[in-house]
Amino acid sequence: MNFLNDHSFQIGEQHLRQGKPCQDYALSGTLSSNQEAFAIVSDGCSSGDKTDFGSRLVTIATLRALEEPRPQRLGVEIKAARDAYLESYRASLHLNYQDLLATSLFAITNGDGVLISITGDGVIALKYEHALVIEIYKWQNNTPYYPIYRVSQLDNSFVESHNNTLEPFTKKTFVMGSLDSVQRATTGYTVTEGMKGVEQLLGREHDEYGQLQTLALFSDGAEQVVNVPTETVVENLLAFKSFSGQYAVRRMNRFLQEARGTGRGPLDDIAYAVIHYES
Amino acid sequence: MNTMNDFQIGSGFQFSGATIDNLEASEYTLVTIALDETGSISGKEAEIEDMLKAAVGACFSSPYSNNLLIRVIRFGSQYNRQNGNGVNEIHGFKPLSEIDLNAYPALKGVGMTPLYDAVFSSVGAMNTYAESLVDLDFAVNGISFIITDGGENASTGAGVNDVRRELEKSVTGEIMESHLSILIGIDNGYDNTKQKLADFQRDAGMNQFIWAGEATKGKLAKLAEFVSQSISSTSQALGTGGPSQNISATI
Repeated sequence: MNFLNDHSFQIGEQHLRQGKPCQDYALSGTLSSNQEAFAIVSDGCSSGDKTDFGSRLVTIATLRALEEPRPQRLGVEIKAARDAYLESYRASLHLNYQDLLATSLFAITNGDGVLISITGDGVIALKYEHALVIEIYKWQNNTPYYPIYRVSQLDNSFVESHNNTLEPFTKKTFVMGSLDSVQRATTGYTVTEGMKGVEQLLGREHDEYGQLQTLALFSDGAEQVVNVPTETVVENLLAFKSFSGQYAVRRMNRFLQEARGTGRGPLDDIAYAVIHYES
Repeated sequence: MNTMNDFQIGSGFQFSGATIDNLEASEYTLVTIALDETGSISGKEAEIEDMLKAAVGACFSSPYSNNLLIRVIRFGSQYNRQNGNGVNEIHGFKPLSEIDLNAYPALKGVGMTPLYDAVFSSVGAMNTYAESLVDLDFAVNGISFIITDGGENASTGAGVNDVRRELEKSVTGEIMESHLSILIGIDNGYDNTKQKLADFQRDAGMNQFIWAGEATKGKLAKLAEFVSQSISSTSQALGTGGPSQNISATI
């Protein structure tokens, strides 16, 4: 199996105007002598401290965790290793936990199956032969759970901040079929479920939609492009005309150029990482 | 792996360009340098070769050197019998890192001046290649230099209207973000060359005409500097949606 990976991240309108750095980060590549491909996205919290470092460190910590040899790819083990790396980076760089308030989305695939994990918020897109499945994960009041909360033993405060709502974490699913039909569904999660994060272990072959061709992880910046619905943002960012070179960078640049022509472009930073299965 | 692909422009002109699937950057400035190789440059060939090597060589130190694709052609009626209609491609659009300056051939000034063919090939190839890149979401702009010491008298493939059409297409913004076409005249000792070239620049719709004067070593060194600086300004302008700024109109 040959994987074609790429990733892109761009600063949003608000951070540009406020003189802040881009706090989203993304990475993609291959592991295990090209037998596996990975995609990682992290979104730093705007109201945190130096979360541009945070999103990069979460991404690098995730990559190091994925690089560790394991008999089986278990999300719980990968996340535990990620958090250990994160704490070690935090301590050695003398950062505080507010610097590391950043989400963690990752996917790893060997060509037959794929493990996808999301801690925090963002969007997962799965492009099959006959359908595009888009999952939008959101925490109420834009207060997502970050891996650093567990590392810094702040889980209890996080639970308290959401204790008035039964299901503060939601997943909205859109399935866009080949006949322009769109199915929608919403799933709710309790605060404890949301803090565990969502993990999916998928086979590449789907009974109804056919073979998975491309998968992509997005930061929640995909939900904040002015005048463009999230599903349209995702569809456009996956409308690759080729998978050569920096294909995701080129698609992102062109899409944002066009989006700025009709609105203000992305309000928030936006990042995505893509794995394409070469047929 | 084949690193170059062949393309065809209308009227039987051909060119080559780097295989697009192998390009690693997301944006490129396309550069064409067209050199007069007619009888009137006879005796100055070595200086013109040095000028070409200096101009392209200087691009290696540009901060955007990884984002340049450079094509070099020469023109003269001696090439009329080849497919290129008076034009011979030294190399097609190529990443700078793949250009070997030492492999540039020696020029030999013979024959007459197919200027229309040269400009048509320069701009037509740029439009065609840019279109292929833009279709795949690359951001692209371009700059063309036509360096000649004589007016049109030998084109077989293109007329002035063909040239004008390609130039118009290149600046609509639909293909490239921007394209700058510069005609550079070198004094060949005949009284009316400067005027003939100025008329052609106006009739064809090229952006600039620059009279470089005599082909002395000093003037050609300045010309090389002008070419490399203009390339650098153009690549800096990529992404702004506009043409490059502050390109000096004198050499």
